Formats: sequence, structure tokens, C-alpha cells
Amino acid sequence: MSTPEPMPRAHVEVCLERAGLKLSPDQVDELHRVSGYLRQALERLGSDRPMEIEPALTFKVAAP
Amino acid sequence: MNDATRFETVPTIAEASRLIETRALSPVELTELCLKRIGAVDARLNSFLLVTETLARKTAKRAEAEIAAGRRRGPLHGIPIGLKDIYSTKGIRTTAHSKVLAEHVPDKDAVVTAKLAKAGTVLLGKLSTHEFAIGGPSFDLPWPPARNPWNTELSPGGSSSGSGAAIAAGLVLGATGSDTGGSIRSPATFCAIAGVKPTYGLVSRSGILPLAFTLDHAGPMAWTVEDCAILLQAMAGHDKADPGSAKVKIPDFRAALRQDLKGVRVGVINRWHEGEHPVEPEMKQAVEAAAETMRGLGAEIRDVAMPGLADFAPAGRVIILTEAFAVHQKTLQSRYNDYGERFRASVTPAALFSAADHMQAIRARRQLIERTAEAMAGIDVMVVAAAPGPATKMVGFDPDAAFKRPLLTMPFNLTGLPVATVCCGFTGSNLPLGMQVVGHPFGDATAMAVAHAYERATSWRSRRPPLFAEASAQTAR
Repeated sequence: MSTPEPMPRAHVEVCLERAGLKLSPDQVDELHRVSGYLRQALERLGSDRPMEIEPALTFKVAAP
Repeated sequence: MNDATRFETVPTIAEASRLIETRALSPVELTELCLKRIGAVDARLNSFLLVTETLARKTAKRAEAEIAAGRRRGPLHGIPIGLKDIYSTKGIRTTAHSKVLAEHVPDKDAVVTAKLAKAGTVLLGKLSTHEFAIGGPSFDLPWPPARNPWNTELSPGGSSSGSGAAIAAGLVLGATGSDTGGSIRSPATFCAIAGVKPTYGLVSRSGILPLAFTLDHAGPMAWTVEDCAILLQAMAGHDKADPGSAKVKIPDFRAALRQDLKGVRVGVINRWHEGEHPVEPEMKQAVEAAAETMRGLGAEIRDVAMPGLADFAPAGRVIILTEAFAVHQKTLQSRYNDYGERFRASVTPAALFSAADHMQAIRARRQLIERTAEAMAGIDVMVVAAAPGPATKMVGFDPDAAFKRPLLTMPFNLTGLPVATVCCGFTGSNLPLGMQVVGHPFGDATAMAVAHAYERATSWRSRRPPLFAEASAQTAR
């Protein structure tokens, strides 16, 4: 299996800057290379969900 | 007994406890036996980051005196154990196997550390882990990675790697692990021991260095399920310092092991053994044979229609990495290269996820929890392989393997369900295979009871790895 098509390199660099990380050029290359797997994972995760699927805030209260 | 070397084997916790109770074995002798075994083989196994020899001898002597004075605390009194080196130990270095915390000495015990000490265990030392419980065997950290006592060229699994290796080699009788995506269950499988990832919230994580808050579970590891039940009894319970801790009644786990399998409904997740990411044929056959063994014990075996394994993987990946990145972001910004390469390669990809990606993963998790509950309706436990096959090589493996194949363990971190992992056979080349027995939320006792009944019905516990035999031979001299 070949490595999947990576995210655009510029996107990887912007994300790293936003995260405050300073990587060597080799480290950026490697992250860029594996970014295709992450893109695939995000595609599989998807965003098409019913609106009511929400992470509810729950409370722990003593029984009355 | 005056000569600890009379043990050609190492007793289980249950056996040692019985011998200690009847004064046929002293905690001091047992501790000396373990220390000798560590001295004999751990230079090749690297399961310990730190051996607390002086403390262990002192604790064992105190246990001996208390027991002699009629003040036995319970089944763990005088039992030598190890702690994964992410469990804080007051006054004792706690490093997470990382240069980042190489000099870190906590001023407080983790809640579980304190509970196990109160139960009378003898701490032999701190055990190897993957760096901060993620990544893999790494050779660029201040300490070498633990190796597999079945074959030292192979990984013992992880991240609770030292715990798995030390138990299988008979250097400790029990240990603690943590499990965020399979870190108790993978070493349990590859080292042929038992490991329990309890229901989320059953065991406090307070004072344990976090990897991913909503997926982290602390749990016991030992040679048998019964020993795990004994350890879990001491570890479990509500802790107000842990926001994820549940206020539930803690059952008598060991007593629950007495239930038989007559009428127990066991669902096999056949789907995860086949399809998109099939397990190796020997693993599939081992789980099928295990199900037949359970049928022979009176269980009802059926197929269970769980969601696809690949549906769990992206949600698990986004959540574990995002949470781990949040924990380490500040330090990564200032000390990026003080982390090992495998930690960096594992966690840095989180920087590429957006806030919306994270929220979609959380929403997907809720859907998967609901679908899992629906699948489990009408059955008592599920069984499924714990890994695609036996242990893999320490070096020379595919660096992208983690991206290519979804973990068989991660679904139960996402759902928080209890899992008892047991050995379910060996490959033709004598490498262990492992199986997960999955319960309903807070059905830890049932999962362990089924795993225990299976374990007792098979002969797998009579096999020990080559390094175990070598430690026995060297300590008998």
C-alpha cells in the first residue's frame, strides 16, 4: 500500500505555526508525508451527522 | 519455608497469599526471590527503570512483622509488585520513561499507588513504558525499551511494556498498567499474561500522568485473571480528586469468579476478524477455539453485530491525539527534541486537526457508544481478538503500521467498557495470542468471571517464556 496523497504542504506549515511548534525541515517533511493518512481518517470520520448528536453536559447529583 | 529458591516457578498472587497467610512463606523470602530474578535477567529484559531494593526489603520486613503479630491486612499483604512509571510515587522518581521528566520526583503518591501500599504490597520498583504511554519501543530515550521475554527481539507490546514483560518473566507477581488505546491489553496479549482494563471511572487516575483524559484507564496486570481481580479490589473505588471517577458499589471481584458459564450469552465479534482488516489465521482460529471451549462450559455462543472496526478508528485517533497534544503542547513548544522520535511522530499530527474535527470525533464517539449498547443487548459479554497476531519486531517494522490498521482495542476505550484480556493460545512458533472479554458498563466482575472460567479450562497458564526459565535456573544456583 502506498502512502496516500498528503495534505498541501502549506497547510501543514500553517498548522504547525498555529500550534507554536518549530520543527526541522526533515521533521516537517515527515509530518507532511504522513498527513495523507490523517486526511483519510478525517474523510472517514465525516461531518454528516444528525443535528441532535451532541456531547451532552452531564451532572452528578445525589438521588432525591 | 526458609529457602526461597525452592520455587522452581513463581507463585501467583493467590498462591503466595495463601502461603503467606499460613506462614508457609514469608514476604521477605518472596521479595528476595523477586530481587534475585530481577538481577538474573532484567539486564536483557529492561522491564525496570528503577528497582527500589532498599524500600522493598524494608516493606517486606514490616509486612512479615505485622503478619506475625496477627495484623495481616489482606490478600495483597507482602506481595511484590511493580508500578508503571507514570504512577506517581512520593519521593521516588517518576519519569514516564522520558527525558522531559528524567529528574521528576513527585511529592505525593497517586491514589492507586497509595491504595496498593495500604493493602500491604511490596513495591519492587518502577516499570518501563512507552514514552508518556504512547509511541512504541524507542531507542533514543534515557533508558532502553522493555523487551519480550518470549523472544527478546520482539516487542512486549505497550505502552505498559515493562509491566507485561516483568510479570511474564516472573520478576513481579503483579503490576499496574494504563490503557488509552490498548496499553494494558497489548502487553497482556504479547506476553501471555492477564490484564484488565476496567470500566472508565472505576479506578482513580488521580496522580497518574495523563495521556488522553477521556480515554485513560488505570488497571491491573498479573499472571492470572484471579490475580487481576485481587489487585482490582484494592485499586477500585470512587475518588473525588478524579473528575471521571464513578460513585458505584464495588463488588467482591474474587467471589464473582466463582460463577460458572452455564447460560452465559457470549457474542463473538466475527466481523472484526474478517473483512477490511482481517486478523491472522492463527489468531482467528484461537478465538474460535476459545468460543468452543466456552460453549463446552455451558455458554451460549452467538455472533454479535458491532459497528465496523474502521468506524471506531478515526474517532479514536482524533480524540487521543488531540487530548495528548493539549497535555504536552506547552512542553512541545519549548523542548520538542527532548521527546523521543516515536512520541513526536505519534502526537505531532494532532496539530493538523481542527476544532471541528475534534468535535466531529466526539459526536461520532457518542453514536458509537449507542450502537455498541444496541449490539450488546441480549448478550452478557463479547469476545474478540486483542491483536491481529503475535508480537512484532522491536526494530525494522513498518513505521506507518499504526496508520494503516485500526486497533482492535481502541473501541473499548471510546466506549469505556470493561475488558479482561487473557491468553488464548500460541502460534506454531510458540508466541502468545490474546483475546478480549468485554463486559457491559461496570460489568467488570462478569467479564473477569468469563475470562477466569476460560483460563481455568485451558492449559495456557502452564507455559512460561524462556527468560522465566532462565531466571529460575540462575536463582536456583
